[in-house]
Amino acid sequence: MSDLTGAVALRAARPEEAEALSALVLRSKAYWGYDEAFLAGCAEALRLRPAEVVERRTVVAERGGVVLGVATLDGEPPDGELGLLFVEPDVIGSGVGRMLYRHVMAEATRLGFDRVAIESDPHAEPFHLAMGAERTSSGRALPVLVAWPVRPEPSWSVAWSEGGPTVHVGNVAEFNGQFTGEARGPDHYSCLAAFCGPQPSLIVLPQPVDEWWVRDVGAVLGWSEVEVHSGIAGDGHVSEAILARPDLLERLTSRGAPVLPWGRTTAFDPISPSPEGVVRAVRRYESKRQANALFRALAPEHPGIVVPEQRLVGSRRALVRELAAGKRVVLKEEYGVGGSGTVVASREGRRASARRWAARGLLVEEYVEGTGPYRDPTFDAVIDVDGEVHPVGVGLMDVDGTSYRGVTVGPGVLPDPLGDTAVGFGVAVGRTLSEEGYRGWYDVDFVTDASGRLAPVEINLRLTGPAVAFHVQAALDRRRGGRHLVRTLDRLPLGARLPAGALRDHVARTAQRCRELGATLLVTIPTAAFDPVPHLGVAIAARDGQALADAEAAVRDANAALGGMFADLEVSPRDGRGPRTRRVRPRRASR
Amino acid sequence: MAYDDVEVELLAHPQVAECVVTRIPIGRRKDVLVAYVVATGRIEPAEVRAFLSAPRLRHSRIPQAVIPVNSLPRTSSGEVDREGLPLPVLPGRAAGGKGAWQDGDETRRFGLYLGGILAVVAFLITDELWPGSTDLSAVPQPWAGLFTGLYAAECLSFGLGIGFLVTGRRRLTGSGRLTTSAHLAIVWLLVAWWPQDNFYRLTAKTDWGRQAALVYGFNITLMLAAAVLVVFAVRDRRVD
Repeated sequence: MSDLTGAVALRAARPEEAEALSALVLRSKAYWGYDEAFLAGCAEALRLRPAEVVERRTVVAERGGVVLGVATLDGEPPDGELGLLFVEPDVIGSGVGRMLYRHVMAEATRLGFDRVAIESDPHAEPFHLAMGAERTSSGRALPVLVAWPVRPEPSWSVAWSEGGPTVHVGNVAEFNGQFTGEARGPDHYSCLAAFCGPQPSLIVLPQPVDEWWVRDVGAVLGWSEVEVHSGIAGDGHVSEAILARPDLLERLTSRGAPVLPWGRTTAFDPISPSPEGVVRAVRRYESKRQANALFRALAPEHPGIVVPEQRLVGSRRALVRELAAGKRVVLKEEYGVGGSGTVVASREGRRASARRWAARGLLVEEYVEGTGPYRDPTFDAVIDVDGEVHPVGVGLMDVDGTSYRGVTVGPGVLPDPLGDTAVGFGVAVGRTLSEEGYRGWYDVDFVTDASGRLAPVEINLRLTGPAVAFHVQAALDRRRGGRHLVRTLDRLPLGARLPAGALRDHVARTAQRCRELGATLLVTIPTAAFDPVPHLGVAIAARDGQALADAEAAVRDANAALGGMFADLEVSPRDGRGPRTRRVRPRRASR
Repeated sequence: MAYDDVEVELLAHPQVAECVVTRIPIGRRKDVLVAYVVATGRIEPAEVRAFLSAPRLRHSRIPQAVIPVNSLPRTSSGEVDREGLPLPVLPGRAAGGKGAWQDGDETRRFGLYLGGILAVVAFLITDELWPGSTDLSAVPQPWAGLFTGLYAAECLSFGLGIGFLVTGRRRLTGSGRLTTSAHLAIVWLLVAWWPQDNFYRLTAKTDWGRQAALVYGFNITLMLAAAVLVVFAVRDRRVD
C-alpha cells in the first residue's frame, strides 16, 4: 500500500506516461470484478495514447512520486466529457477520485465549458451522483450523467450587490409615479424587487405577501434568512411609509448592506441617498425624447443599429397631419413605463388616435417594420460605484402589442450577431449614462427591423422585468452549475381567485408538474392572485428550450383549468351580466 | 347567514363527502348562493341541484351552482375556512400591473370628501353671496322646513359637481373632446342649481333684463348640457 501520510498532489500528465496510465485504468476497472474477456474488450476504448495526453487535458494525482489516479477532460467548450476518471484500486474511497473530479470541473469552469458529460461505470454512478452530477438517460448500456460546471460569480452581480447581502425595496409605483404625477396602488409589480440580489437579507414590499412565498423562493434560489416587511403601502407610496416608521427605517439602514430600490426617486433618497447626479440622470434619460437623441448621437459608431425618426408633436392638428401621411407610426408619451403611454397607430385608427392623444405633447416615432422570432431584444447592465459598465446580458422580450409581458434569457435566446450588436450599443449607452452621473441598473430595449438591424427604442434607468430573469438565472447557475434558460411571465391570468392557502396548493401542484418536465417554477408575483381579475407572475427555469416551453404550457393550462370548477356557475368573466338562474343546457352530442 | 340545513341535505347525497354552502361574489355588487362540494368520484352539478330540489328546501335556499373541489380549506381548529375558498373571476380588467394602473377607491373617496366639504361651505356662505335669498322668517312650518331641504340639496349638488369636476374625468369611458364636453355637462347640471336658484329668488318677476340674463345663463345652458349628454350616450364608439 502507498504511503497514506503524504499529501496527494495533482499535475498534468506527460505523454510518456500514457502506457502506465492505461494500465492503471484497467487495474482500476478490474476492481469491480469484471472477467478477463470483458476487460480485454474494454482495453481499447479505455487506452490513453501518448499523442492524446495533452489534447485530453490529462491530469494525474500522485503521492510521493507514485501515481494514484488519472482523469481527462475531453472535447471543446461548451460541451465536454469526463473521459477517464480512475484511481488505483487500493485508494478507492480515500478521496483521490473526489480530488480529481473537482479538479476537472474547476478546469471545465475555467475553460468555459457549460456541461460535462459522464459515461459512468454502473458501479461508479453513486460516486458521480454524490459529486453533484445528474442522471440524464438510463436507456443506454452505461449510465450517462452530466455535470454542470459552476462559473465564477458574474462581475455584474458583484457590482450590483457589492458582493454581500442586500436590502430590497419594491417602489415600482412610486418610481413610475414620479413621471405621471401620482403613484397608485395596488403595486403588485414591486414583488419583483425581491429577486434582484444574490442574497437578500431584508425585503420591503408595498403589498402584503404570505410568509411561505419568500421561504419557498429562497429555498430554490439559495437565500438564507430573509426578513420581510410587506403590506406597508397599499397606495404604492413605499418611501413615505418607510419614513413614517422610524423602527423600520432603522432596520433597513443599520445593517450596512446596500439598500436597493426598484428605481431611484427623490422620495426614496432620504432612506438611502443616491450618488450625486443619479436622480437627475434618471429623469433625463427615462425621457424617450432624450433617449432618442442619445441613440442618434451614438449610432454612427455602431453598424447594425438604426435609430427610428422621432418628432415632437405640439398640437392635435399637427398630429392629424402626421397620421394622414398614411405611414404607420408609434405614438409615445415622453415618459411611459412598460409600454403604457405607447401605441402603434395606423391610418385607419387615426381619428380616434388623434383625439386620444391630442394636446399631450407627445412624440411621433417612425414604426419599425418587422416580424420574426427576435423582434424585441433587450440589453441589461449595471454601472458600478466607480462608473464602470458591467454588461448583464441580452434577453428576448415578450411584448403584447406595446405592453411588456415577460422575457427569456439564457444561452441561445438571440443569435450571436444580434446579441453582440445589442451588447456593443448597450454598453456605449451605459458609458454616457455613467458620464452623466448615473449609477445602478439600466436596460436598453430594441426592436428588430425586417433586415435584422436593431432599432433602440428606450432606456430604463432602474431595475427591470428582465433583471428578475437575470438574477434567477445567476442564482440557479450558482447553485446547480451550467447555464440556465429563464423565462419570466409577469401576468399569467388565473381561472379563479385564490386565497393564500389555495394559491399555495396550486403553486405546489404546478411546480411539481414542472419538475417532472425538467423545469423549475418560481412565483414572482403572488399578490394579485385574489384580485377581482386575478393574475400570477412566475419565472420558469430549465436547461433546454423544450423543457421551458413544455413547462410554460403546463403552467398556463393549470392556471386556466382553475376556472373549470365554476363551470356550473355559468358566469362569464367578460360579459359582466352577473348572476343568471338559467341552468346550463346539456349540449347535444351529435350534430 | 347559516345554511346548515342545506349542507345536511347535501351530505345525504351518496357522492358528497364534504360540503359548504355559502354566498360568493360574482359581480361588483352581486352575489349568489353556491355549494362547494368534495365528491367521491365524478359528480354532475346539475344532478346534485336536482337532488336538492326534491326535498323540503325552499327555492331560495337551493344553491345556484355546485362547485366541485378537491378539498375544503380548514382552520387550525378543523372548521371550514370560508375565507379560504377559491372564487370566480369577476368582470373587469386586471389592476396593478406594470403601467396598468386603475382608478383606485381613493380618488373616488377624495372626490366625495371634497364634495362634502364644498357643500357645507356653500351652505354657510349662501347668505353672504345672496343676502336674504334664503330668508324663511316669513314662511310658516312645515313649508319653511321643506324649503331648507331644497337649499341643502342645492348645496350638496354643487359640492358633488365640483368633486366630479376634479376626479370624475377618468371614470368616463372613452376620451377626446366629446368626453370632455360630457364631463363638463354633468358638472354644470349639478353645480348650476345653487347659484341659479339663489339668483332667481332675489330677482323681481318683472325685472325683464335680469330674468332674460338668468334664463340664458342657466336654463338654456342646462338644456344644452343635457343635449350634450344625449349625444355622448348615443355616439359611435370608435376603437383604435
